[in-house]
Amino acid sequence: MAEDWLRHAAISHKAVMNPASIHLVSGGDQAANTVVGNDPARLWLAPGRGLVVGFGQAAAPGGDFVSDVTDGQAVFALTDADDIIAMATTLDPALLVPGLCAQTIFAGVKVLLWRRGDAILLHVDRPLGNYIAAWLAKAGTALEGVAEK
Amino acid sequence: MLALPCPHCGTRDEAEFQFGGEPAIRPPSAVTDTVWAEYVYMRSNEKGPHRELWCHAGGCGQWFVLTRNTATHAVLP
Amino acid sequence: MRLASGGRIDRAKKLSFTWNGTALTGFTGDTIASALLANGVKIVARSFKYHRPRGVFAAWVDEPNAVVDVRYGDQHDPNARATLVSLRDGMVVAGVNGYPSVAHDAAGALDLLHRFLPAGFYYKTFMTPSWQSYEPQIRAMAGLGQVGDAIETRAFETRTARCDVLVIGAGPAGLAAARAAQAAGASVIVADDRPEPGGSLLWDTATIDGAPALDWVGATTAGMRVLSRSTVFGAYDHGSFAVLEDRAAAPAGWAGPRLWVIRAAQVVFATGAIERPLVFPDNDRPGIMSANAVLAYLRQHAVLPGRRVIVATNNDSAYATAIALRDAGAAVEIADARAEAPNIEGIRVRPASVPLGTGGRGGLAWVDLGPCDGSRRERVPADLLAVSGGWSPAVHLFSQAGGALRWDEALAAFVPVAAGQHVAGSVTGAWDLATCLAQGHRAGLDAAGRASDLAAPHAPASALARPILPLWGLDLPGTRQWVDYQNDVTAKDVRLAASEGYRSVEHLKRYTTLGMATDQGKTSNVNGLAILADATGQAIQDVGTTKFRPPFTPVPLAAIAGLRAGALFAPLRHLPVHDDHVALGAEMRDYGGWARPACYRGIGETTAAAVKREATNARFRVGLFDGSSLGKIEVQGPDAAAFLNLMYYNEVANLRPGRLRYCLLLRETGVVYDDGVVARLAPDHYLLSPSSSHTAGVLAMLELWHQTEYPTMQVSFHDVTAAWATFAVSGPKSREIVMALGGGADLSEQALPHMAMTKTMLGAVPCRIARVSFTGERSYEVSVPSGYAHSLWRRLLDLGEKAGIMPYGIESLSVLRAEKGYILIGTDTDGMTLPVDLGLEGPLRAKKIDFVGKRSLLTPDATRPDRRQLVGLLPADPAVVPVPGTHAVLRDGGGQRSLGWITTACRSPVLQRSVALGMIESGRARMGETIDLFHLGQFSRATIVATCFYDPAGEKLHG
Repeated sequence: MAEDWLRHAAISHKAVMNPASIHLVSGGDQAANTVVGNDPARLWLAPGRGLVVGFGQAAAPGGDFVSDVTDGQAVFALTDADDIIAMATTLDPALLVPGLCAQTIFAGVKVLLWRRGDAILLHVDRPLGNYIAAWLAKAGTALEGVAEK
Repeated sequence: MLALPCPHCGTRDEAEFQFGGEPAIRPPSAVTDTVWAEYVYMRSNEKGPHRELWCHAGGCGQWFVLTRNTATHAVLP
Repeated sequence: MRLASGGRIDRAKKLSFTWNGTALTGFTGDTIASALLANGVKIVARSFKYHRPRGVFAAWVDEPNAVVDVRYGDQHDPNARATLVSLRDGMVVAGVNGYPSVAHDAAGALDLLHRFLPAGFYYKTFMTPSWQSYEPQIRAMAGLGQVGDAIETRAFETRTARCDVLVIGAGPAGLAAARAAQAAGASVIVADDRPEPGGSLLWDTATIDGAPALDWVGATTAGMRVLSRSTVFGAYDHGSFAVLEDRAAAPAGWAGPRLWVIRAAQVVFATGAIERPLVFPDNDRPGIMSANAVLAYLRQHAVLPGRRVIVATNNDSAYATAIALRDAGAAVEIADARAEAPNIEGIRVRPASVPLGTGGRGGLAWVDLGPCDGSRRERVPADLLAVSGGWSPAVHLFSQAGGALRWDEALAAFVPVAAGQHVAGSVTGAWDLATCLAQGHRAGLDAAGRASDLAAPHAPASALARPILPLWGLDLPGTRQWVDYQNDVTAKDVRLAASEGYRSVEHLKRYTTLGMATDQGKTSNVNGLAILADATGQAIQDVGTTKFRPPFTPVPLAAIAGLRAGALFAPLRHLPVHDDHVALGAEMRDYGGWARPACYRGIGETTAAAVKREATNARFRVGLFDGSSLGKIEVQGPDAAAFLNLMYYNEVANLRPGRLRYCLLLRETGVVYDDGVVARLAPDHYLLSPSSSHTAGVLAMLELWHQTEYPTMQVSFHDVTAAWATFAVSGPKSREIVMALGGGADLSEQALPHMAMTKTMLGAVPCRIARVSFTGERSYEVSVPSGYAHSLWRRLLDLGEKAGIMPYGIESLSVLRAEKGYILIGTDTDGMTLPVDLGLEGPLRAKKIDFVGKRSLLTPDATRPDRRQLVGLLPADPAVVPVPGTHAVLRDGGGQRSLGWITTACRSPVLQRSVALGMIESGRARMGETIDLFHLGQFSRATIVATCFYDPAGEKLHG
């Protein structure tokens, strides 16, 4: 039976959240870079393109065309992230207030950033999760002013 | 390090964009080889105000046209 | 020597360091240069070309001579400027470019040969038999520090910041500007390269608003964002500036510099000015220093570089140095080049007097003074000659930002022509404090763009300055008058260049190397171009300056890399089961930005043996391959079929749901951009599989055409590459293993023939199964959401164990596909390959509608019969595998012409011989011909055959 051997592996990293569902949706004409809701959260990435994130439980995505990308992203929760954002991006911090989201280049890779409560959430393609984790670790060391071993 | 105005995301750093060159009107296929080659290969490459395509690939992924002065980099509204 | 009191040093914190092995001491607040001067060290370096002894000349970034080797802890800087490095306890400092030492350098004998080593000598001498036979020794003789091989361990980082107003320079003008801009409501960042703000106020005794100037500095900078030790080294586009913040003096650890990129809406250039030396015979002797630098050493470090001092000047500014030296107890005389000079109490002033020569071993001992024409000379003993030839505004950043310059005859300086830019202080040629403060205040308000009630800071007006007497060297033939100290360029070299036709200032620079040393000519550029003007009869305005380019001072590459070094240099994508591959002993390599298994080597197994084993097993039993990096783009919408038909070379609109087709994407030039499999899941739902390295490019292409050419078509594109893991089970035993997964999908030949796909559920988990092959064997690609990848990978290995399943990597796949003649884009194709070259003409004839690149396939060049075509090649010697890139040649009399080249070559395990693919002119018409191959001077032979070497009928794929 598939249930015997098929297991879902979550990402185990102290800063990574594992949302219940993430969907790419197309359709509608919401303006880009806005966030509607908190759980589920609808993040508008482009005219007519959004990301629907269900944290506690899977969300009904809505929209005209839907793709399930739950296992395709790594979602990091960054706290006290002002220095990190300044080190990794050229983004104006004024774009990361509640209600807004921004796609940008972070440490050389494309990510989605938005403020949720006390944290800045960072969405990145899952295959690059290890790279972001390594970069964050190195940045943390640099911020502590400790030379690398 | 140009600062470019994406119509959807506002002004962002050059590293978020991909350059698309001068836009050209695609002719129908029933044109001569010369006219087709002009469309595929030839651009005016002006010194001065230059209409050009940019894609906000590191952001919203949308293509747009802006005018940039190729001598001074001034981006015209 | 060190004075008993005074200076901005902390005498409670004594520091120990070594200089060339000798133990010396200094204080916190010293630079290496000030500590060396305090200890009476005269010779700190040897010049680049002639190995002449050099001493410290300046006090800051303009220093041309004092390049030293510094070790501190495990850090090593072989080319540190002694005037910029803060002294730390335990520092080990050594001279460079001197053997055995800079004090006694055997290579100093080179100076005797100086007549054979003028500027540009390497274009005229050392020519026989060739320059290359002399170059290694000449390069070894000329040089600076020795680079070590220790890996950098300091932490570097980059930061971005933004502000309304960036003020460059924290001298009086800069601080006045920042103060005003901030009061007017602007967000302000001040960047200054010194350890503390104040600029010239750090050594000038001045009052501002009735209080000591440094009190005003402290009050002004409180609550202001000041980046100290931060050099703004480059002005870039749209108000962006690059800044290097030195953190070497940071109390915690030895952190590398921090690179800032600041985006400012407005900028105020308050960058100050740099003092020029006077040009006269033997003006490079240790003990000759910039007059302003002497003042700075006195006031900042309580260092007296000499006791018997001559101050030689052509302008008023050096008088402050003379007076300060007198007050510190030195015996001072002034030689003023101007005809009229004031009386100064306690100092002998000689009008119309310049240095005509200097002498002394191991340092200055005397100076000859007299009129410019050298008609009389008086020898005056001295151990310090403080020189001032005038001031050059530091216009580098202003000019980089596009500002124009103007030569001001009265000031004898290039000054900025502000056309909308904000400039203030001595960079404009204003030398007195009151004017600098007023300019700064005005510039700050202008930059903020708003008014403020704040009053401008006030300083007493200084006595009216007497004009400078421009002096660009002396007309004394047979003397050596130095212009560029670091690169050993004399006034005679400048005139030599002019006489040989190098009349442009840019040619002067490159021919003589004037201004090309690590100090970038900060003290030599203006002197050099003024001499060029005289030599060529041009006005200085017309000669102009060389183009100013970043960086203003050297920037370590590690600072630009920041955190992106080592493993973080290039983002590397991991497969969902990356750890499983590593656990299986896979050799992981970077393939198009993904870490993928090249092969899975057993203990003691070579790569070649592993590849052969894996490939053989995948062909005759069953192999398991991780194809998760292949792109997956979902295309949905009522217009999906019509849109994709406009994009692809092949017909895709007639693809039945559940079927796959191998398709090409072309550029408008007709050139093949990508190949991949297009699957139709439903009438309005396609799944594209671009190659791993082209996924982003294909998505961008689809978006481009949709957004700009076909915006009314209802179709969406979602990149789901990372959301699914895909494993290929390949080989005669593949079907039974995939069936054993469960899920109940019908995998019979009728239900799922080759190039078809189906979907099923494994428990509650969706699973897609596509029957598609890149090996030429029966093959199933099984996809599940990537969170289940590990479970599936382990399950397939378990299910296949009895059948002898083995994982296979990219290298074995490459061999398997080569045996079948399946192409790799970018390996077998290049930037000119059209579909017809690959033998894929069908769609062009059959597809009636337009598609991207179609029109380009109908041009004469695209249809000529002698194009290079993809063919198979069997080398005459089956044991030899040709190198890809080897040309096929037509030997014609004495010469040879290329017919094309080998694109793929390997040893085929199934045929047990070498096979190759290549693009050969008129290849398909040459079947059976044997042609010549040519590589590294050797010829060999190969026969042209069909591209598929194994199972050409495809029997293994079907049934």
